[in-house]
Amino acid sequence: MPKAHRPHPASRRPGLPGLPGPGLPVRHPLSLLVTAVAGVIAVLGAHHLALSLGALATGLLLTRGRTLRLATLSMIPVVSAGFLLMYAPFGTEPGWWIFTRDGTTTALTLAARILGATAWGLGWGSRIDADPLMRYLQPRVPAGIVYVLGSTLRLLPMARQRWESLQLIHRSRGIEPRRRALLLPLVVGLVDDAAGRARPLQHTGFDLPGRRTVLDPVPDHPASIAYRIAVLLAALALVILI
Amino acid sequence: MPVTSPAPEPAPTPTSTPTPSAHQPAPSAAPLNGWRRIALILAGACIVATWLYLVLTQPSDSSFTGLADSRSTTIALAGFTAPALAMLMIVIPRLPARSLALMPVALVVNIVLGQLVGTMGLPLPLYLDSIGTVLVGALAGPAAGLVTGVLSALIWGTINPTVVCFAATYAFVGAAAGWIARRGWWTGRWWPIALASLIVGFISALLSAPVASFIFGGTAGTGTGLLVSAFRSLGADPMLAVFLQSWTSDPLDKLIVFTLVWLVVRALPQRSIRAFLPDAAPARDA
Repeated sequence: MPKAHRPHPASRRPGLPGLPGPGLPVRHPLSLLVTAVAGVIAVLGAHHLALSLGALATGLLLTRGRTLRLATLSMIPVVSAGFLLMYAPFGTEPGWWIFTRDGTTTALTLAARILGATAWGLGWGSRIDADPLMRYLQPRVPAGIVYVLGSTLRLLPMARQRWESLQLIHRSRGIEPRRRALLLPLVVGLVDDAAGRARPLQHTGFDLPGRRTVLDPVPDHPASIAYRIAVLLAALALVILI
Repeated sequence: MPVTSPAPEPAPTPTSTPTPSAHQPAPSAAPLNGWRRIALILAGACIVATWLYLVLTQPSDSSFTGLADSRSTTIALAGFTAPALAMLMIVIPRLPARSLALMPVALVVNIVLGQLVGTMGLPLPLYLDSIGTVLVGALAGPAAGLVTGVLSALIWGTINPTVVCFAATYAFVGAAAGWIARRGWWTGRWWPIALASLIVGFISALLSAPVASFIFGGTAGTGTGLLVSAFRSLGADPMLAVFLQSWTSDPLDKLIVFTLVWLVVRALPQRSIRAFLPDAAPARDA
């Protein structure tokens, strides 16, 4: 008698994104991604200051990880300065120093819009678990896309390791490592590694068309599908109505 | 071999495998036939039509003094991003595994350098966000370059959603690097690469300026903002100032990027260059 299928232990954990259990539809990895994308479209398309600021605040609150939140916050002065340089001195209503009143308003409105879209996208994006998302996408999109997405996420630690090795090599030769001097060997080394991986990948027939088997598939629920459709329609409505 | 024109590839047999020359790199995608070719042409036409509509009519539905309002943003978002995504879905199933193996490296290089330059407070009117895309184009051909450009925008978009809108520009830069590779310039002298980079920079500025103008209302960096401000001080209107800033920044940026890639290609071992050439595997049917 064949053994009954036992789900992966992780899939029994309630509320884990993308896995069966009593989790909310929004916690499905694709639902999180769709929410992020729909919000970005709504903020950019609706072009409403309150919506932009709301998205900025919500995005910052939702962002997981101090580093990512700090990265979003660090964009505020850079983006604001860029728009202030472009618009603030060129308005018609006099303000303070080179800052005209209407030009500054335009600049800050545009900056709030970009920052709102960015913070919203990052906030929801930071809640996506890449592994369930890749497993969910595997049978649904071309295999090449999933491979490239997954490999890119895994390559960053390898690149960091190579960077540290290069620094070590330079120090062992009595040379103080400089970023500019390490960039070329880093890129050349990474490409050389990729060349080493390319042939085996080719021999396994990775690029051949056809369905892929996923060992631990991520199920989808009608409620999650309905949620995604509703979110996209809501974004569309905001763009049209506001 | 261009993406849209099929060319015969020799069957790889142990006795007849040619030794590919680094001076004659060729694209790595299997030929696109039938509906795929038509869809690719339509996607390109959609980008051109969006560009023409936005630049010639400058649509607006408000009295907002900036360039980006609701209507123009929606048109630019749909007209530039959707066709780029369609191109990705059309081309990526035709790419061999060895091109796919190179792409993650390219994406990491793009994202790390692009994010570093884009978010630093220094007034540097450069982007340096397409080194990996150009590298893939140079080694694996225009189709692989195009796909890397779009994927770069999508993956970088997870930490900076604004770059997704520039997917069509990135796709063009990658494809252009591949077309240059067909002429064997990447392992030749520097000046043809420099000349090509200036032309690619000029055209990519044409593509990216309407995106920056109509979706974001201008540029979001301090260096590029300073340039726009300088051009506006000289009397240019906001859109012309963004175009002039792009025509200043993009050719310079591409000159640096293409020169770096030229150095990388020259430093690579021949076996690495050969690994990404197309004659290592049989072509697939359409």
